[in-house]
Amino acid sequence: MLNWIFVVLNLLVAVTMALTTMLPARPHKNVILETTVPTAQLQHPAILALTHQYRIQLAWLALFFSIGGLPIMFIHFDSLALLYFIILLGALIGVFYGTEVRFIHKMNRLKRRQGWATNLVTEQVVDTKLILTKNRQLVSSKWFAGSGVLLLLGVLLSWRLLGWATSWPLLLALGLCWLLFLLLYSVIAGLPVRVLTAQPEYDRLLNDSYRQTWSRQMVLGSYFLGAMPLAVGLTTQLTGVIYLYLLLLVGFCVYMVYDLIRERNFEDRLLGEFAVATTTDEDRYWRYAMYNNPTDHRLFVPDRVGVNLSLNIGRPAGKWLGGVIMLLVLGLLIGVTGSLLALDFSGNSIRASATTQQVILRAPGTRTTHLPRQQITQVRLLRQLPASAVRVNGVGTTHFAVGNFQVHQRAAKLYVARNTGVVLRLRTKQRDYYFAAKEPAETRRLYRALH
Amino acid sequence: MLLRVDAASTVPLYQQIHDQIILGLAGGGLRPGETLPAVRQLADELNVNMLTVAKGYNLLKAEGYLVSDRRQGTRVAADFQADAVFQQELATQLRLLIAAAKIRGIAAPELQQMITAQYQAFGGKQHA
Repeated sequence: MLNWIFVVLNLLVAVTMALTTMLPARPHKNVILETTVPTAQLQHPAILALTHQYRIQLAWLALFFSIGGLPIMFIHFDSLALLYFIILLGALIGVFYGTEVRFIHKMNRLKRRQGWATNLVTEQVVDTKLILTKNRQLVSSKWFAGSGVLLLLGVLLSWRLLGWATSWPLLLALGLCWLLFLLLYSVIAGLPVRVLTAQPEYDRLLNDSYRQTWSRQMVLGSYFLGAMPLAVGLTTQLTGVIYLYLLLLVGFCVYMVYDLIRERNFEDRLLGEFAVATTTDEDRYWRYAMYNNPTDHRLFVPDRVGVNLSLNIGRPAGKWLGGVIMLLVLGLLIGVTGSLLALDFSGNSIRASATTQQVILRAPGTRTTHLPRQQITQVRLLRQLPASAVRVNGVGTTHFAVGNFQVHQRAAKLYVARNTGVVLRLRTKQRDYYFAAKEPAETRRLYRALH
Repeated sequence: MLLRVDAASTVPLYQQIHDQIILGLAGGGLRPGETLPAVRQLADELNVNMLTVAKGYNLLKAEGYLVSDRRQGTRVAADFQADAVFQQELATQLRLLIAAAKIRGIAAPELQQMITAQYQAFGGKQHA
């Protein structure tokens, strides 16, 4: 099952990467492949040929990486399947990004060769009337109160059903993400007005539409995040809830992409009807599709493709934030892969010991439990893990179930190698503990020691 | 009005803001009583220091073009008077410009024509 998920995920990532990397090849304002060229030259045969070549290469890469993911189906070990997937994902992102950078260089060379260099514009133009009412179409920040309440309800439900010790990592991550949406909303509210057509009514239309679309995305995003702990909590009572939530989440992601591309097309259509009077050449600040401008005080800026916000790595805070996010993602990937490798290839990775005072349960990727023996109210040997086990956090694969789960609507901590034919259940007043070593004899030995 | 400032210009930024607002007023881009962005807001939009904008605004307030209060923020003044102080200042600046024109051989009628053309370029009501 996990292998199939990786194969489908790899296919989705390859296709999504190809489509998103193709976007810069469609001109937005007078920028194509991160290069500012005169509006009149956007349909020049040399540009059309280069962007066509770029699209073809991306399509081939998507096909190559989609096929490259198929061997995952035949990998028996979860850890190796994950490792293969992560390496493939890293290569995929690297190759797509490298291709984009290579074609940006080609477009730059073409610009120089054709003598299309536009004068560097150092002039800033603002519309004083537009500044005063720039946020009139912004979706109200009061909507965040609703998603905040949802998040709070989810926190209370998780705390009640799963306990604080089990649910705090998820809640902390979601709380931080919710704050990030709020931060991005304020970034959008603070973005400077853009004078693009030098015709006030059209500049206002562009400004209103841009802010409304982006603020709507931030508010909707905060609702999906806010509802997640509630969905997780309710799933422990009713399994179908998480599938409904995932379906809605996929729907939201599709809508978000559609809405942002619609906004981009709207801007281009409107700008196409008027001479672009003041679109400036900012190529020198956009290196390798990243924004690096130490003189710009903004931390986030709208990117030049028209469907994203970019971090300004020219500012110290931008460097720090970018570095921390990268470290967190790498740390998470290394941590999960390391745990799975230890589970698969360490001989007695799931182990237990019992003294007269306590029982100690250990497994990679989760905290060790020191369970005082007087707290154990029941010891039972089962044939297998109950089918109703729902993962809250931890590892849940075809071969292992390790971490915090909900079993028969009771909080449970699992240290289980699946399909060994024997699972030990230790019941306490607060929660159940399930243990199954890779060797069934070891599980039975612990049962005899405790029974 | 469209306010333009150029970071690469030799004219100080506060002076550019000052000059642009006066030009906007003369050209009709700004109306008497019209609200202007607050110092912080304009500084954010132009990506310049707040003190720069404050300096430009303060100069305009001292010259009577802008007024500000806590309730209504910064606005263009309701009416403007060519008082004695202004006329004295205008005469001083004109004297210098006319001197430079004379040195370069521009005759008085030509100079008068230039002034009339510039005045008319702002459009609107012609004063006697």
